[in-house]
Amino acid sequence: MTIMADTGAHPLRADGLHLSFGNVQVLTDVSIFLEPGRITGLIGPNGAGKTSLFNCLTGLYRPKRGRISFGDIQLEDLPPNRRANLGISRSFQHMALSADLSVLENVMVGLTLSRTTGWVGAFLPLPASRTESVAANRKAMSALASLGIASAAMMTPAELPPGTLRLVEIARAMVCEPRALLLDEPAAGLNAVETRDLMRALQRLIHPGLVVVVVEHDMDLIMQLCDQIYVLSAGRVIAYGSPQEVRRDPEVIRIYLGDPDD
Amino acid sequence: MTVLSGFASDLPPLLWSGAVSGCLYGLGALGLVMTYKSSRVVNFAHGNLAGLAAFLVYGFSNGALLNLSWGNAVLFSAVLIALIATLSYALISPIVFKSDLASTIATLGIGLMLQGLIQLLFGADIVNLDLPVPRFGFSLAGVRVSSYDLTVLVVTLLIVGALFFVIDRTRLGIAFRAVSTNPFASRVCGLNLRSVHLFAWLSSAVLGLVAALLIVPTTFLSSTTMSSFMLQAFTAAVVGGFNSLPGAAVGGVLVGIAMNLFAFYVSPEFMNTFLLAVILLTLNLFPGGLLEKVSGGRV
Amino acid sequence: MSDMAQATKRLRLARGGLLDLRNLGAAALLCLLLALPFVVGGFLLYTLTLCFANALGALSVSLLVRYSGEVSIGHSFFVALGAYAVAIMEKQFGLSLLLSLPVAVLLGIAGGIIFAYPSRRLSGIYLAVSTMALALALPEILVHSEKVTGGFEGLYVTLVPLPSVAKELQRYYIALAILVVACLALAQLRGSRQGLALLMARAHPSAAEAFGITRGWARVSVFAISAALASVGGAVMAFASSTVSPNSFTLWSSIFLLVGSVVSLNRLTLPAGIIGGAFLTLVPNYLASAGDWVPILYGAALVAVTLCVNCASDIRLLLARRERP
Ligand SMILES: Nc1ncnc2c1ncn2[C@@H]1O[C@H](COP(=O)(O)OP(=O)(O)OP(=O)(O)O)[C@@H](O)[C@H]1O
Ligand SMILES: [Mg+2]
Repeated sequence: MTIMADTGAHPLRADGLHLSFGNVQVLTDVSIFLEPGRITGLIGPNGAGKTSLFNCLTGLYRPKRGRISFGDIQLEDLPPNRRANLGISRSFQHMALSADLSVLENVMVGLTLSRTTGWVGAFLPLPASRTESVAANRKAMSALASLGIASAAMMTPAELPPGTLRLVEIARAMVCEPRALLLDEPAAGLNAVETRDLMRALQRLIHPGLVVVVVEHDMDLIMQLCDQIYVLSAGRVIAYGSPQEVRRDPEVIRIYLGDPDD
Repeated sequence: MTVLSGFASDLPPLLWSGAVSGCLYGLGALGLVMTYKSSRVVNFAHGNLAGLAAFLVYGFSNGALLNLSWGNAVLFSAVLIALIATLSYALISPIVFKSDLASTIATLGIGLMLQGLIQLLFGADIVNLDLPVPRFGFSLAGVRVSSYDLTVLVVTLLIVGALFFVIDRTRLGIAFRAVSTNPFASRVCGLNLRSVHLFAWLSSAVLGLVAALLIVPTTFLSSTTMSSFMLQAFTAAVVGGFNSLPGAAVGGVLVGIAMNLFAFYVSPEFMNTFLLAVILLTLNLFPGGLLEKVSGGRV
Repeated sequence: MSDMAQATKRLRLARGGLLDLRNLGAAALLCLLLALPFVVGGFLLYTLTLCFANALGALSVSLLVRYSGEVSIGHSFFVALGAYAVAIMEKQFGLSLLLSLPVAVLLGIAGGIIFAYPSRRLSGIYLAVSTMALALALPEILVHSEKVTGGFEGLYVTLVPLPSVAKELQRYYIALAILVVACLALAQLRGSRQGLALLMARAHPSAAEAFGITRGWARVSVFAISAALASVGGAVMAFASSTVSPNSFTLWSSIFLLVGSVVSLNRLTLPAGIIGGAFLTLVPNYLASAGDWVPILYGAALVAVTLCVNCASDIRLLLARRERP
């Protein structure tokens, strides 16, 4: 159970996902193909099922039907921790940081699976556990720095504004050098400068072996950042294509972009 | 053959007396479940309050505190117990919505205080407290049925019937059901949560009083007997599912019977260990009935 | 990158400052405790030794509360495991505390795992209820396995590790040393991979799963550590009081451990442990004449501290909201 040893690129795909809670049909026959090396956008109105789709991909929800695969590996029956072990990492729309941990420590949680200190090292200051913890510290610090929030490292989440916490959430998802990175509304609550920093960080991060999916309501960001876009509405994929294609899609214009509130 | 015939003649009385004491565990469990369902607090003071109730009845009727008739002593104690229940709820009311954990800890504190009160008032006394019912008994299909058994059954049925009537038919009961299914929605609908909570705590206290009065004649009353009664009630609630009122009653009867069988066929000395095993086994084998609260939170 | 270097520096400074302040307090307390036997003697020393044992018990409950958000009212079971391990190892094999302590730790871990496993997926109340059953089952198990446990009478613990040193002093210093080592180990745990993972699992169990931290693992681990700590407390308790018997391990003594943990605000430091332990040891000692008041006092303390802590967070929130409208 170590993180996949090979460095090859693996697509993350879902085929015919159905998900429901009681009588509420949340996802209906959703199929997506997420290519490595590209940034995929996932958009759709509130309640479309974007977060639920993420939850299905990471194993927090069990779809009623459908298949999910990462490279050659079938994921449907794997619990969330096994999927994390394969290098699938995510951030949460409703921030899931621990108030007891400092920002740096919260980010270090993202490294849990790549660290190997045993229980003895948890209680005794063994040299090996020290080395590992210093290395983890450094990695977490550089993840924070790449998002421009290194100065917040020693603060606790309670002392920081939501925008910074959002970035912490993203730093935690990025820090383990994932092979698939799912970001749920990463720019919600960020100001213009932070959003620009975030976009640059993501563009620096992307490499041929990495799948990146971004759920976002900020259309400018999505259009600039993404190579391909899926549009979800009421639990169905209603459009797919490059930003230009999606922008022109009449259905999308009608139910989403054309929404006068937007 | 003798083993089998022995079995046939042993079993009915065991089942019968188990079911009778099970009714009382069920009454105890009903109280726990009511407070849990409405306010999400596991009331660890329940047993201590019931113990205090029984002691008060003893004290008021035997001249230790007052010299009243049994009926008056019960009435007087019921009023006092209701007052204490209200007070305990008032004590934890600031945190009841905030943290289930904190309020549960606070009920332990209240339980400790009640326990101390019992010790202060009655010392380490071990007392007998009988029911004022005529003694008679008859045999039915190989089972001895005593007046005590009948009293327990009748009282339990009356009380449970009344409780379910209130919950089914009255406005308060409807509010209680609404609150226990969805506290948030009911708050939005303008239901008064506090009065529902108070209703649950008060009925739970009364149920405890009745159960304690009925159970004491079979053993004796001391400042510690109530903690094992509390364990029996808790086991009944776990077996029946902490979320279900009928489950609590059924769970009580099941636990009563199981305890009787265990005591007779295995060992009467390890009752609490047996209950521990029952709790752990139930949690492991039938999580379906108990899991409602566990299903993953939304993220 | 210079931004980062600067931040790292600030981090180290900030941390050093905090550490200094806290460590200074703990170190001062430790010096005081180390020097105490030269000033006081006899009964107070004995009481303090018991206080160290109770401190370990209170810390074990605090650990459970801190790292998993659960309460246990059955920790006297694990305390008894350790205490009887010491007594039985002495009776059967003639071994003293230092050799039976590892056994106590292992027994505690095993006991914690066996007990937590069945309830690993269940919400807190079920755990609390089963710990209550555990506490109530313990006395009958102890009383009825007379051959091993000595029944009602219990067992004596008379051996001490160092034959040439005064018994009283040995008991005091060994108990103190064990407590200090336990606190250091807990401090180490807080920053470790496992410590961070457990705290995350407590805050957001389902989010933690996405980082490879399963709920079952978290629940069982915390319980095992906590039980081991309680067991060490029991071992020290047996060693300090030189006897073990069932009536020191009741449901009430379990609840008292929780009281000790709550009055020390569930902190996991040496001073907090001492406060919790002192509350459990000194209050009954100095109120011996008014024994019946002890439960009332403990109950009141439990309710009062719980209410205050929760309302304090309320007030802080209110203030913060006013500052940042
Ligand atoms: N655990 C759950 N239980 C019941 N219903 C759920 C659950 N999770 C999601 N839903 C329902 O599924 C639907 C889709 O929710 P989801 O959170 O996936 O939408 P979303 O596209 O992420 O919306 P938003 O843009 O507001 O984040 C909603 O109607 C929601 O109520
Ligand atoms: Mg969403």
